[in-house]
Amino acid sequence: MQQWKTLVAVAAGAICLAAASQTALAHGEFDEEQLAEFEKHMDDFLEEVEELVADVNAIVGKPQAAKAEVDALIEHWEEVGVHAVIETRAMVTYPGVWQGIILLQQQVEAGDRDGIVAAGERLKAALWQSFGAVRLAANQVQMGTAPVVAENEAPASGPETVALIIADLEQAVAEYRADNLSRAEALIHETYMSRFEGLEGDLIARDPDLVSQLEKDFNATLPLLMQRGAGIDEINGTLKSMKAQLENASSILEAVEASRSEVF
Amino acid sequence: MRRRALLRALALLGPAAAAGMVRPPRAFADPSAGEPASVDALPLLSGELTLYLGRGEGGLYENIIAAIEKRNPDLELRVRRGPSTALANTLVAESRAGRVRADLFWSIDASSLGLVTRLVEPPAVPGPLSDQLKPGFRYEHWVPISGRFRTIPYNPQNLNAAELPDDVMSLPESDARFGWAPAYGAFQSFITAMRLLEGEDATGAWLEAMAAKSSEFAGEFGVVMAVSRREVDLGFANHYYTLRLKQGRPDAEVELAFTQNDAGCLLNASGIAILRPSTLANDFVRHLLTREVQSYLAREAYEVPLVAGVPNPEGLPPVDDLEPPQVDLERLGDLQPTLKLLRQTGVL
Repeated sequence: MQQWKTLVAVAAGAICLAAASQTALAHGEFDEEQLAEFEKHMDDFLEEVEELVADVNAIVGKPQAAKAEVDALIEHWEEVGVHAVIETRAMVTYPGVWQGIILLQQQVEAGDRDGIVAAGERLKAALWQSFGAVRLAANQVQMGTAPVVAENEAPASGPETVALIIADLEQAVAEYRADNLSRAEALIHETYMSRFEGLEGDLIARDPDLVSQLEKDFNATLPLLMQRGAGIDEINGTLKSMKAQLENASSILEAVEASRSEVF
Repeated sequence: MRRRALLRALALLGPAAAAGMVRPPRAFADPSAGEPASVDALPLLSGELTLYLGRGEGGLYENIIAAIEKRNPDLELRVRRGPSTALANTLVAESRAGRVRADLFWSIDASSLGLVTRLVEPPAVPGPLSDQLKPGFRYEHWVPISGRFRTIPYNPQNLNAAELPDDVMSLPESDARFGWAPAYGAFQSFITAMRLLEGEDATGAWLEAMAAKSSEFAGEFGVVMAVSRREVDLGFANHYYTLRLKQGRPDAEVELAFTQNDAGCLLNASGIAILRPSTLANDFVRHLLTREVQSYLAREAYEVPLVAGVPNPEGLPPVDDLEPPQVDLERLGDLQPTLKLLRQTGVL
């Protein structure tokens, strides 16, 4: 069984290397297509992390590692597709990888054997932690529970954003029905902070009462109903009311954007 | 209570009233400032740039970027988006590895730019860029783009403007009912500024005294609406909520007051740092400082233009007539002591 897994891994690695050779990017460039559907490339990213870990092991295993080998590791890290995915989908873990690389570089330059081993372990842990965070994000995309706004997502138009808010609220109610209160509350809070707040400015000037009522519903009415275990009919009634207000907001925003002045 | 001496509640009373009561401008006036540059005077941009863009201002920053790209078809702009603080941390890590991948970092808050200034050490801003800014906003390592004032919205039916103090620290002596949104980032920056200006003890005492008089709201627009409905007499909020409300509802019962030279009238700013200097990067920043972009931000977002010679948003007194405190905006990111104070005093 283990042999079979190894064979599959080798084959996958060969395919990955072939693919990588076709899509090799210059430093700092992003493969936007791969980034957009990153969840479909997890095997590729796993292979890349394994290669980077192998680079680290090679440096740590040498009696006298040279700075040039760390430089080569940095070159490798900058070229792989998993770099951009960690940077955009696991942003919190991304600095840790760089910090691990720098620590390893410093220890190699100092020629400190114990320090090199410790720095190598830290860097490998950072790489695996980052990969784990990317895998979690991929699972969330596949399960439809991804964060409301992806890190690198460009803002949608006002009416499109309202449609996304309505979808988030419907999902929150579905989570509530499935006895997942914390997820439901998190969705409501996140869609308010990440989506609705960006629309407030334009809406306040046109219909301040609408904004005021929606703020109350996002922050108090709906979450409090859920916290006290309200029946689904009552929850749906509030959802229906919020959807009607949001559709009104959508019409306002459509008119605002149509009349928006030009920058130049 | 020290009474407001000169500047009070003028924002929405009209320029004539303001002209008669406002103290002569201090740090922000620049009599030598020339006309702001027009985009028509700038060269077309050509080449590749990587921009790290902190989220904010709805889609207006994106509209500006799209307009720059439309005007400059030979510009290949790669934009990496994310929360400003996360992008700042990324830049710090990349910098330590000697591998900064961004040419520019445009952040909605000065504190993230402060972090980058301290730890990434971007090169000094070229003089011709700094010279376009108002004198109080010429930072060595980043370029402020636009600002927002802390203000005190108040209900003129409940309060006489003449009774309003010009000193935020004396507000606890008032019998008025206040509204605030302590979970809001802008409020926490305001308290951080107070901490830097007045010290921990005075800020803690202020918070304790105010907590007994204040109603809490989820957001600062909620504070402004509560003022207009007479639920509270006055509150703490960034200036644009009141201006937007007055735009749609001119008879709303809310006016703006400004304290003087303290945290109550803090002017916080968005800005951009040039990490990999080049003519192209400099010219991109010059686009953001044009009369057109600065006016667009004032017109569409009620942001305060920081380029000399560009008028303030309608309803706000000229920035030269206001007296924001001299706080190092880069230090506003030092939030942990502020959060500790807010928790110790039971405000959060």
